[in-house]
Amino acid sequence: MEYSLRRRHRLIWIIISVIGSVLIVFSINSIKESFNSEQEVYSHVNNSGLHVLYENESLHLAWEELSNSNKLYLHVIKPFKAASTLVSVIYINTEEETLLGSIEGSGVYRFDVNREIVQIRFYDEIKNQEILKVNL
Amino acid sequence: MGLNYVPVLWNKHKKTYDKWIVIGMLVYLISFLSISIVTYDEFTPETLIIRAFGTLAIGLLHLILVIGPLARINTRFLPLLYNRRHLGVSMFFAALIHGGFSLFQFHSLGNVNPIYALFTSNMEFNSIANFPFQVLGFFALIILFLMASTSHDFWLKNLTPKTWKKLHMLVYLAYLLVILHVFLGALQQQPSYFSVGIIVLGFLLISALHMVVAIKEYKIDKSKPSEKVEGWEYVCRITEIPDDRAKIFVVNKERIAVFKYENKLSAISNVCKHQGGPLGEGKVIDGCVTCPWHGYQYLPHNGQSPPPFTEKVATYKLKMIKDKVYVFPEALEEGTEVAPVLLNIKL
Repeated sequence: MEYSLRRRHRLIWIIISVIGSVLIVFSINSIKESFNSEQEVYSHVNNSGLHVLYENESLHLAWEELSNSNKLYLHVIKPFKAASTLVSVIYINTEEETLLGSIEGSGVYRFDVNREIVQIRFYDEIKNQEILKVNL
Repeated sequence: MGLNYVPVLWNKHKKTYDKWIVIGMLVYLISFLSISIVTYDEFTPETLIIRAFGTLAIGLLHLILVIGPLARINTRFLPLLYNRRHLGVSMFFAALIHGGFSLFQFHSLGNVNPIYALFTSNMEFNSIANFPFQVLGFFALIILFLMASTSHDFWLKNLTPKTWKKLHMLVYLAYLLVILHVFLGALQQQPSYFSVGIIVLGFLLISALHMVVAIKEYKIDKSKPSEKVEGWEYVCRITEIPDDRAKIFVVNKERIAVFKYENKLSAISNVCKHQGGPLGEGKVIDGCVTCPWHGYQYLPHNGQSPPPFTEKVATYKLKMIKDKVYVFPEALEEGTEVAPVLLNIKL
């Protein structure tokens, strides 16, 4: 290899090492999803003594109290028969409904909630129909 | 050696390596598919294919990128370097299947051109979490296609080794694009400690190996001759050069290989005309200096490939004072005959 080529290699790898490392750190910091596998989250929901709110053959709802924020776990075993399902809650001492997010299929969903919930509602936004309402 | 652009010799070793490449890829794909089917019950065949071939392509790209620096650190890895091109073409096909199925799965069901959809379905270029990572993979695939399609020595000869090498150094850019494609795509959506850890480790390993070699080569380039006699530079004592091997010496940052063979000494440029391989790390086989990378050969006394081949490298004048070897640091025209220094040593 000629000197010019060796120098080019050296420069390229200095640039890749620096830029690559910085971008990797930024991209890891921007990860919003849980690092635990779905099975691990499922196991956590079902075996760790979380407060189970609702349970049937297609849906488990559980509640976890943490020091900084509480978490609502939805384990969707069978997907809802709706193209787009929204989840909303009504907090204690309010009548206003707060949208948490959407359900796109089976799996475990986690939502940060900051107060006690009195009602959870699943809603088909396209057909404008209520799918399920759970009063707690 | 190149003659009529057909220097790829399908010798026994090459066939054995190719066989192991195919076996390795099949074993990986079968293992990946089996484990996925057993442990993950929500998938489509397209998803499985996308994941299996995507991870295979990344694994092969890492393997390809460690071979170069490993061969510079330890000559035992040279046979892998000799077969690296076939590994590269195999990796491209794995990446192509991954990209093709992804395009089909995510962009072919609408009423716009899938390539147009790839570039327009997500335009959040200012977001890290939602960055259009598929575009990065697309550009990496274009680079890998250019490399795979010009990998034959026909293109090396026609594009000239310098241009060919510049084109093939784009693999480093492709690697960076692939890493970002993974971090901004799959790992944003389904992160796990294992997947993030293994890609970070791979990046650190490849970067570290290339930097170690770069530093090693930089130190060699900076070395100065310890002694000069009327313009001749001291290389080493004759006993430091093994038979049929060379001592590599640096003159003005370029390297000269001083070979000892058949009781004679000759010096030629250290840079092979094929792909810039280090001739001084090769051996003299059948009277010819043989490049350790791809087996190109040169006669030590004139730097010419033996007929009918036409490659030529620069030669240098040598002299001996007692048992000390000196080189005149001015390169002679490529292929210039220089009478070897005769040694009075019984072999």
